[in-house]
Order: sequence, then structure tokens, then C-alpha cells
Amino acid sequence: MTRAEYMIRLADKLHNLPEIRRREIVEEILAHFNDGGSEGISDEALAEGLGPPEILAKEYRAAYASEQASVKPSIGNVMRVVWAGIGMGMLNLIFVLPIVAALFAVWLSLVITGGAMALVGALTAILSIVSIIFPMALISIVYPIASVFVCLMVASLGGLLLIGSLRLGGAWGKFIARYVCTNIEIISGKRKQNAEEH
Amino acid sequence: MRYKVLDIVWLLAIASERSDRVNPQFKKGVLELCVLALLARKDCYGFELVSSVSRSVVMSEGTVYPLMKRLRDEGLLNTYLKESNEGPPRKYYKITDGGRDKFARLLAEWRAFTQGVDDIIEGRQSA
Repeated sequence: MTRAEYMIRLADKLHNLPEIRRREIVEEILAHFNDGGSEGISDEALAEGLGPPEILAKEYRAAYASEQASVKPSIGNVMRVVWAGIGMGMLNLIFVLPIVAALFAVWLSLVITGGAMALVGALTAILSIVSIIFPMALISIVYPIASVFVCLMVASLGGLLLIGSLRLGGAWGKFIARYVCTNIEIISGKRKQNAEEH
Repeated sequence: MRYKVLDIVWLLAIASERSDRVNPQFKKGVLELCVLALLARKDCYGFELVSSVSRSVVMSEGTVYPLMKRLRDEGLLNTYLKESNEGPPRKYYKITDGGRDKFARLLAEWRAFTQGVDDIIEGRQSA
């Protein structure tokens, strides 16, 4: 392979690098041919030493890409990171949202059941007591004393359920918050995955 | 002999796993060490540097040029133009202070690594 041929094939594979960068690379490799030639080494041997121009171009492109990603927070790079982040967010949304929604629904029904039991239990207990003190005043209850105990039991069960589910909700909320924070950290790049690999 | 070669390969694999202690891209790290070592001694132009490296280490010259560009991007090397007796001015590479720091760090890693390998080969490793 002559040096002209080598240079053409190399430059062809560098076309998506910036103009300045490309010119630097071409000048450098051309200087390599010149300096090698002045020491009596043939173009053929020099080209063989450099390896195929396509591979050389690939390594130059890789070097450039890693530099771009690590050093310059240019609009293009930031956009790429943002897009990656949105992609990850969408994935989370698709996979996690149904689970979160279902768990939230279960939790909400527990809270409502507990609340309703506590409220109704307490109210009917009061009604029962009232009907013991003032028989036939409002409504008649067949076994007023038994009714007081049953209603108080239902009310306290409902109260426990309510308190328990609210506590559970707090823990669940913390977990969701931590999960979201982790995602934000990953997206914003604070938590790098395989930082050493390019 | 074959057994020992396998040992070394295995050790290299482990070395690249333990990224906190040894440069993960070990081979590239070694090449980087060679380039920095040459430039720590004296400034070189491209062909001079590349042929020195590829003369001692079996490595394609095509691997060294992109590496030099990367090292310059990272601020470990500088370049300047200097008149030459033959032909146009040449681009010389010069190591920066940051490059010297990196060189010292890579050298320490290299010394520790080769020491470990030697210990295994010579059977000095405490079992």
C-alpha cells in the first residue's frame, strides 16, 4: 500500500470527526511516513507497522469519543446523557408503575376499611350505650350490652388496622423516595456505573 | 512452562478485576507507561516515540498514535513545533507535570505487579 492510498483510506474513515482534529491526525500520520521514509523505511513496511487504516481510524475515533464524554459537557453530550436518562425513566415507568399503583390501591383500601370500621364501631357503641341509658329513646337494640362490646371490638380492630396501614404507608413512602433518589443520581451521573470502561 | 504462562494470564485477569489496585485496562496502561517513561527522559517527535515503543514492546504503531492523542487530551502531554534539518518542522511531544504524576503512579502499580508475578514464578509466595 502506498502512502497516498493509506492516507485516503484513513481520512475516509475519519469523516465524522471535527475538521481540526482530522487535519491533526492526517498530518501526524503523514509525518510518520515522511520521517520513516527519510530513515530508509519503505511505505509498504510503514503501512504494515501502522496496521490497517480502518483500525487506526477506529482507535482515533474511540480516543476522541472517550475524551468528549469525560471532559467536555457540550450540549450534544449532555443531551445524550439526558436521553439515556429519559430512556431509563421510561423503563422504570413501564415496569414499576403498575406495581406501585397496585400496592398503593391495596394500601388505600386497608386505610379506608380500618377507618370505616373504627368510625362505625365507635358510633354504634355510642348508640348502644345511649340505648342502655335511655331505653326506647332513639332506637331499640335487642342486646344492648352485647352490642357495646361487639362494637368496641370492631372499633378497636379498625383502629389497629388504620394505624398499622398508616405506618406501613410511611415505610413504603420512604422506600419509593429512596428509589426515586437513586434513579435521579444515576441519571445525573453522580452514581457512575463502570466508570472505568469506555 | 505452559502452566506458568497460564498462571500469568490468570493473574492478569484478576488484576483487571481488582480495579481499585491495578489499572483495569492493563495492556493500555502498560503502553501508556512506556510512552510516559520515554517522554519523562526527553521530548520526542511522533515517529521517534512510536518506533522506540514498538521496537521494545510488540505493539502495533497504530495503537500508539491514538494513545498519544488521548494523553494530550487528558493534559498529560503537550506538543510544540520545532524546526528540523530534514523537511518541514516536526511536532514534538513533551510531558506535563500532570503527566509526571501519572507516570509515577503507573510505575508504582507496575512495580507492585511485576513483583507479585516474580514471587509466583520463583516460588517465594508464602502459602
